[in-house]
Amino acid sequence: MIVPIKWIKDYLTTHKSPKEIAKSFTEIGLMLDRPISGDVLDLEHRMDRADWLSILGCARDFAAFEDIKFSEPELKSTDLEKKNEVEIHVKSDKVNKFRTRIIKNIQVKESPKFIQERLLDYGLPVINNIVDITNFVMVEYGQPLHAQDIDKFETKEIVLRDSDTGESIQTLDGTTTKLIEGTLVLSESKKPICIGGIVGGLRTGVTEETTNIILDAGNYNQASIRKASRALNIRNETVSRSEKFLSPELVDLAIIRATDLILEFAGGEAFENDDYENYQPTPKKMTLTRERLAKISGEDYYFEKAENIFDRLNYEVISKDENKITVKTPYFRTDIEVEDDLVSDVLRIYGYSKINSQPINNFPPKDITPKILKFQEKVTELLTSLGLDEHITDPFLRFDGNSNRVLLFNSVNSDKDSLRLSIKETLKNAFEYYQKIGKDSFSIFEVGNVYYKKEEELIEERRLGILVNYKDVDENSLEIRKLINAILSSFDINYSFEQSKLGISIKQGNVEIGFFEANYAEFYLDKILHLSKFKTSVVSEFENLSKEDLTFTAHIDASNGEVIEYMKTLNPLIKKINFINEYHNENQRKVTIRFYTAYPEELKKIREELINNTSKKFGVTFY
Amino acid sequence: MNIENQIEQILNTFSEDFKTLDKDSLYLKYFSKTNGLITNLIKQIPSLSPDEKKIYGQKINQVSKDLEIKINSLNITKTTSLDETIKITDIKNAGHLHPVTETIKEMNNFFRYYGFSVYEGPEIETEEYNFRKLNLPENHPATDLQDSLYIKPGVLLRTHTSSIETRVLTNENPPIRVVMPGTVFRNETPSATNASFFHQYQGVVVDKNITIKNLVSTLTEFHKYLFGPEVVIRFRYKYYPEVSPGLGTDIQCLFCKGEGCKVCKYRGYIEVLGSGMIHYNTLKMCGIDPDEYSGFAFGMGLSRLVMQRHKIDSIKKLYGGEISHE
Repeated sequence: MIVPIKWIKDYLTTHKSPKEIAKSFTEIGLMLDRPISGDVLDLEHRMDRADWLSILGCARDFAAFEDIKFSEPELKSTDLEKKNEVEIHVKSDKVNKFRTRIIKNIQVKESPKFIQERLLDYGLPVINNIVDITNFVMVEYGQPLHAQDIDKFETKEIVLRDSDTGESIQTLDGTTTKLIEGTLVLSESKKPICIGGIVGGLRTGVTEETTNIILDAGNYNQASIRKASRALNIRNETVSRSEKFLSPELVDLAIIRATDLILEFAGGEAFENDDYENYQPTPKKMTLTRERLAKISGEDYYFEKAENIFDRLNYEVISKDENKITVKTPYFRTDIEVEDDLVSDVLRIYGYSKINSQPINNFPPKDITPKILKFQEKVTELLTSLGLDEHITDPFLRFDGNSNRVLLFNSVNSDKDSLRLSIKETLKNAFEYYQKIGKDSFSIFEVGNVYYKKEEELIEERRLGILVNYKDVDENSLEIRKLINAILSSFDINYSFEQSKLGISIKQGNVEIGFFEANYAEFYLDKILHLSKFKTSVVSEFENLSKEDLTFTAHIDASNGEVIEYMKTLNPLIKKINFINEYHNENQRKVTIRFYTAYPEELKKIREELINNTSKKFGVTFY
Repeated sequence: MNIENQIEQILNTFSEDFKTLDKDSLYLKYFSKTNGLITNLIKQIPSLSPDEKKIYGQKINQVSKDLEIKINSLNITKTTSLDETIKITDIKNAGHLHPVTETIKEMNNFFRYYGFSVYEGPEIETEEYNFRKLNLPENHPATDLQDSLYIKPGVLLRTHTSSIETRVLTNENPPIRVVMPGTVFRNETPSATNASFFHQYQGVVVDKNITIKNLVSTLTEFHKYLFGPEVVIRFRYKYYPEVSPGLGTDIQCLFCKGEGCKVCKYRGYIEVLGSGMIHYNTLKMCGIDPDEYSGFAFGMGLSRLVMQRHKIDSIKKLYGGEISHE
C-alpha cells in the first residue's frame, strides 16, 4: 500500500519524521517495503486486512498505535431525494450490495489541486474531476466506485448478470476484452458496460461533454472477482480491492463521500437511485477473557490495557468486568475471526517491541525423529567420508510421455512440467556442469525423492544416487561396484547382482535394494534402512585366522554375492569370505575372493571343497 | 673363507655399492631371500660351533641391522621435503555436503539441544494439509501468496513446510517440539531469486502454557546462534493465516547497522522468518484442544540464507548442479 504522508495528515496530526512514521507502521504490520521517497511510504500489505488498502484504514491504525486523535471526513449528502430514474436489476448471485446515485448538470473539468497532488503521490494519473474523485475516494476508503454518462444509455436500466458465451466489451483503455462465460457484468440495453468489480467500459464512460452521471459502488463475491480477473489477466487498483473481503458498509460511505466531493467540485444536483442488498452485516459481538489474553501473551497486565486499545481501534465496548470485555467489532474489520485476533490487536497496539522474552520451562518431550532421517544423516556422512560431494538438484524435467511419470498439469514452465523417476535424470546436470568447467575426475551423490504412478496411486520414494567419473581408472563401473560394496558392507548388508531392465539390480535375497549401470548406482533408502544392522565390528577376542585367496572367472552377469553366499555354506570351518577385487575382460570377469579359517591345517581341504562344489554349481573356472 | 673375512668383505663391498646403487638394488643384493649376501651369512649361523655362534651370531645380526638402516635411510637423505615422499593422489579427499544440507545440520544441532525432534512429511500433498488445516479456506486471498503446482485436483506439491506442521499436529499428541526442514515447490518462472524448487525450515512447539514470550525467547536465541551474539533483532506484527497473533522477525542489516543501504534494500533490516502463535482453528482442525494447549510455529526460507553464506548469486546454481568444491 502506497501511503503519502501528506494524505494521512488530513486525518491526524503528527510531528514525526517520515522515517519514524515508517517505523511505527512497520511495527503494527505495515512494513516499509521500499526506500522512502518524497514523503511517500511504500508499505507491504498482507492479504488479511482489506481496510489497509485505504488511506483511512492505515491512518486509523497508526493513530491508535501512537495514541493520537484521528478524525474521518465529515459526510454531508446523507439524505437525498430518491428519483429512481435508472432501474437496477440484479440477476447474479455474485452481488452482495449495489448502490447508485444520479448527479445532474455537472461540469467536467480539472480536479482541485489537493486531489491531484494526492493521486499523483499515490501513483494514479489525473484525468478529470469526476474520474479523479472516484479514484480519490477509492484510495481514501478502499471502496472502488464508478461513474457513467447516463446520456449514453439507450435504456434506463442497469442489469447485473453473468455474461453469456461470446460477449465482449471495450474497456476504458480502449482494448476489447472477450469475456469468459459467467463473468459478472453490468449491462445496459443487453450489452455489457462494465466488468463488475474489475474495470469500466468505454461506451458509457465520462468525457468532457458529460453533464449527467450515474455513480455506483458495489460489493461483490471476492472469490469470483479474483478468479475472473486472473482469467481475463486484468490487474488494477479496483481489482486489488474488490477481490479482498471488503465490508459492504463501505459502499454507503464511499458513495456519500464521492457525492459530496462532486457537488463541491463539479456542481450539479444529486438524487438517490435504485439499490440492492443481499448480505449479512459484518459487525460481530466477541468476548475477550482475561484468561485467554494471559494464556497467549504470558502476562496478566495486558488485560488492563485492552479497553483503551479497543476504543482506539474503533471497537465498541459493550460490557466489561474483572475477567472479560465484550465488544462489537468495527464494520471494516472483516479479518477478525477468533478471540485470539482480539489478543493480537491488544499486543500489536501495545507494541510488539515490548513483548518480554522467557525460555520454555517445560520438560522436553520424547524424541520422535523418524529412523529414516537419522539413517539419512549416517548415509550422507558415510558418503562424504568416502570422498563424494553432495548435490541437490531440482527434480523437475520436461514430460517425455512416460506413463509412469508424474505430470504437473498447471506448470507455467514447459521445461519443468513433470517429476523425475530416477535421481540420475537430474543429477546428470551436475555431471554436465563438471564437464563444462573441465573437472574430469569426480564422484557425487544426491539423497532425494523420486516420484511415480502406480496404477492410480502417486508414490514418492527416497533414493540415494551416486555417480562417479574418474579420469585415471580403467573402468568407472568397477569404481561404482567398489562404492556399492563400501556402502552396503558398512551397514552389514550382503547383496548380489542380477540383470534387470534398469541395468543390474542390487539385491538382498529377493529384495531389490537398488540398481546400477555404467558409472551410476541408485539405492532404495527405505529398504536399506530396513535391512541394515548398525553393529560396529569390534574384535574383542583376537583369533589368528589363516587365509587364502582364490581366483575364478565368471560370466559378466553372474552375481558375486550369490557365489560367496553359497561358498560360506560349504564348510562350517570357514570363518568368513571377502570379495577382494575383479577385472573385466570382454564377457568374462576375473574375480578374487579370500576365505578365512581358524584351522590352518584345514586350508587345503576347504580350498578343494570350494573349488569343486562352486565350479559344479555355477560353472565357473578356478585358477 | 671364514666368517670373519666374509663379514669384512661384505662391509667393503657395501661401502662401494652404497654410493652407486639405488635402494631397491641394494636391498636385493644384500637381503634377497634366495641369494642375498646378508641372508647367506645368516644361513651359515646354525652350522657354526657353539663358541663361534656366541661371537659371530651377534655380530652378523648387528651388521644386518646396520645395513638395513642405511638402505632405508636412502629415501630421506635423497629428497628435500617430506611431501615428496608420499603421492598426494593416493589419499582421497573427504567429500562435502551440499551447502543447504550443511545449514540444515547446523540448525538441527541448535534445536536438538533445546529438545526438538526432526520431522518430515510428504512432498506430494493434499489441499487439506497444505491449505485447509492452516486456516486457509477455499478462495481465501492468501492462497495467492503461493502459486501451486498441481498433479490432479486436490493434490499438489507442497508449497511450504507448513504442511509438515499440520501433519505433525495431526499425527502426534502434545507435547510436541519439532523442526521440519524440507523442499517446497512453487509454480514460478525461474529467475535469479525465484525458483520452483527450494528449501524451507519450519519449527513448532505445542504444550501447556506456551506463550508468545517463549516464541520471542526461542527466536532470539536462534538468531544469536545463526548470526552471532551481537545481532539486533526486530519483532513486528505480521499476518499469516495459520497463526494469530502473527510475528515477523528481522535482523538489523549487518552492513549499514540499520541506516539503510543496498544490501537491505534501504529498509535497514533484513527479514529472516515469519512466526506466530498457532491459530486456534489450526489446532482444532488438527485435533488438538486449543483451550488446553497453545503453541507457536515459525518458518523461514533457507535458500536465500545459504546463498548469502556461500556467496552464490543465483538460486539456479544452487539446485542446478552448478556448484563444485575445490
